[in-house]
Amino acid sequence: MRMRTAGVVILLAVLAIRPAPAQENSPIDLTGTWRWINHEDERDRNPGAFPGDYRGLPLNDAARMRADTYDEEVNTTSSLLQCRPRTPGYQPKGLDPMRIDKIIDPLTRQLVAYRISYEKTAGERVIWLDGRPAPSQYALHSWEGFSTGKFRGDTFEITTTHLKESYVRRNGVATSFRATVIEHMSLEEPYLEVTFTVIDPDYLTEPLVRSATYMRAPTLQLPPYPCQPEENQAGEKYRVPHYLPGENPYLTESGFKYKTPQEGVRGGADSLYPEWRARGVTLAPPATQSTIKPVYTDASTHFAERADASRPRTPVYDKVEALHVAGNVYLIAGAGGNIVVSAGGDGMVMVDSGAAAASDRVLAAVREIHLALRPPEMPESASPFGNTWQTTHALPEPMIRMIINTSSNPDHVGGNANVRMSPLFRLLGYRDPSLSLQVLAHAAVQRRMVESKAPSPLVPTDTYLSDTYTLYRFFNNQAVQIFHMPRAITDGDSVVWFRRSDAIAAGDVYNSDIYPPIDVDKGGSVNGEIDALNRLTGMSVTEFMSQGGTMIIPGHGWISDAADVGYYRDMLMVIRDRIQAMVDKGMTLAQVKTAKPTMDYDPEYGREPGVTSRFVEAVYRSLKEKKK
Amino acid sequence: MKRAPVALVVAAVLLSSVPIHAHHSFGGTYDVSKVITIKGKMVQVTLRAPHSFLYVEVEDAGGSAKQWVIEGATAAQFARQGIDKDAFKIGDPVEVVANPSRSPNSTHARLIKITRTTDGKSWGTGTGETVN
Repeated sequence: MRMRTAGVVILLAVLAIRPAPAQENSPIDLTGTWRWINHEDERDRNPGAFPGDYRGLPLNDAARMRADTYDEEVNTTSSLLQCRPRTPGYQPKGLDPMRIDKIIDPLTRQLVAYRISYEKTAGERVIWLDGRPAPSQYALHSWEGFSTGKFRGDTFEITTTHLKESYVRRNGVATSFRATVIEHMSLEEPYLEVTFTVIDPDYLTEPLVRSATYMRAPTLQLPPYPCQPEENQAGEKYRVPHYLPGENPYLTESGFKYKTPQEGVRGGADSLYPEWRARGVTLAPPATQSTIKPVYTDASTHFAERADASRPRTPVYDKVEALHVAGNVYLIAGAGGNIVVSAGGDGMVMVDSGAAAASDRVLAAVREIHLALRPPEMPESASPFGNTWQTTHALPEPMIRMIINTSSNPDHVGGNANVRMSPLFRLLGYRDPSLSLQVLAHAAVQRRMVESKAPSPLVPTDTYLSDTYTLYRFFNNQAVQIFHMPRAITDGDSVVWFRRSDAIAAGDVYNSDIYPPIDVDKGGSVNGEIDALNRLTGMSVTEFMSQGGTMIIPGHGWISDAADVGYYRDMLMVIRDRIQAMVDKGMTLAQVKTAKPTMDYDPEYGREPGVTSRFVEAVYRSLKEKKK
Repeated sequence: MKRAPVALVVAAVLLSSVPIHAHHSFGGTYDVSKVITIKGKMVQVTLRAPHSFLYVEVEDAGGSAKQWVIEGATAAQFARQGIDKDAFKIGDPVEVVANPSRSPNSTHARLIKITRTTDGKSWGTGTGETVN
């Protein structure tokens, strides 16, 4: 009896520890090299669609206005756009050969991801199958985005987020950085059918579903693609080719040449369905090619008004995150304005301090960063001071050595007092704290805060007046340089460059998803802001094909690179030119606001109450006052 | 005999359409229904991906110089047709036939044919127009 019991126990134990079953085979073999088949959309895929041809696109009026005013020449004048890769929302239309490889975990031998390369893609798309969560909302957006995949039967489904702004047609129909792309790959040897769907809350009213076909090409080798951007406007001031609203002469070209009713050419969800055909056959195509003045009336024209009508939200700082940016530079996000920290053996330099109400969580994030620090790096310089400080200082707890303020905006300086009073604020230098650098900003920031009677613990203790200010010594093995951006958001804006980490804290000079808060009363101006963004892109280098390299941390939003800042600058230049034309015509501020000169960008940058109105007013006033 | 004209048409179409797998849209950037001629001096040759650029300086009657940016195929496509860095040199007097930019007042254009006026060496995208 006892033996029988023991046998049962042993049997159960053996069953309990049996090895996990091997992962099931993939339902289809996606791996290999694939050649595109150019059997559809010839005009779209080869020479490129005519300007103004939006057939088959469920776009809204904001997207129409943006495309109507778009000039494709911008792709040759902007060095940041010449090598811009396609995102998955357009790539399958891009005539590129494609290679798909498996990524296998060498330990478990399980398939953890697919890697997809295209001829004209900067990096390699990795499609994760291991169920990992999406990155933070403050993580860098890329041309490839972040992708996860799963098999649905014998169809492979890919979902991609964290994309940069891009296009769905090469005539200026934009996709937002908020877009999601869902791809379905199905195999009918030797053909691979890719159906790709763009879901864009900013510019599309319905999902845009398209498809492309590839054919196996086992002997095909993807060629190298050494894309080299050219500075085609050498010696000239940077310009963004574009048309003012109502001045693009090419919007009827497609309808006229293809004898298609203009209403159909203008696209929109209605025109995609068979029911529209009955209406379409009653409409006449344009008799001539002429300039039209489109009227934009759909719901997207009210985007800013809807934002204004929504109840302003009381800021909540319940989710403060710490993200690694580059080298020894980190971002603390969710505490009002973004906070940037250089952390290492020398302690921490903190750029901005966030909102006052978030300080406890900010200090918790500081401790989190401190715990995540890597061991001190080995000296890599022949400099007599190279790393001697760092290698001899193993800090038991985080020490915030100083704060640098990029502006006087409350959500950037609000935490100054709390951080200064915290036990983590341990100054460098003299024993007398009044002699040490504590809170540094441009002199204009201190002056304005004193004038506005800000509580003294918030006010910067130390100032600089020059164009560039360099901290007196390397800090965490790198130079820290501060650049004054005169007349940008205010007259006292600074950006802070951590040189070895190649990361720049931009403050509110650059915000990734909201219009810049230009304050004319504090010395800000749209042209100064554009100059500042030009300087910022000039200081930055992308790693390859307009992506990566210098990391730029905005005042609000996600970690960015020079391409993101370039887009933002171009947006400002387009809006500046539109409002300048209105000022030149003698239009009043009320008339300018009614004309909605930012309507096409509002879905991306005007989602907060009052932001669009304040921005338009600031641009108008700075241009009007310049004219006086 | 009846098939010959069809074959000729097919051949003509294939020869006349150099496969330019444009990164950006050539049709959207340039007005392909218009042709302009630019006479000047080559000041820079940049053969690269995704598109190459030739820079031609044109002097007007008043003596002031204007630089034209002529966009062409990728370096690999030029190389397949015998155009390398030595084909056209800095300082060469050239005549360029091109599609103008759609953008008002632009000095960008798309290359159709380039000829060095001193010896007639040329390259073009038309039928039979490669290196001669």
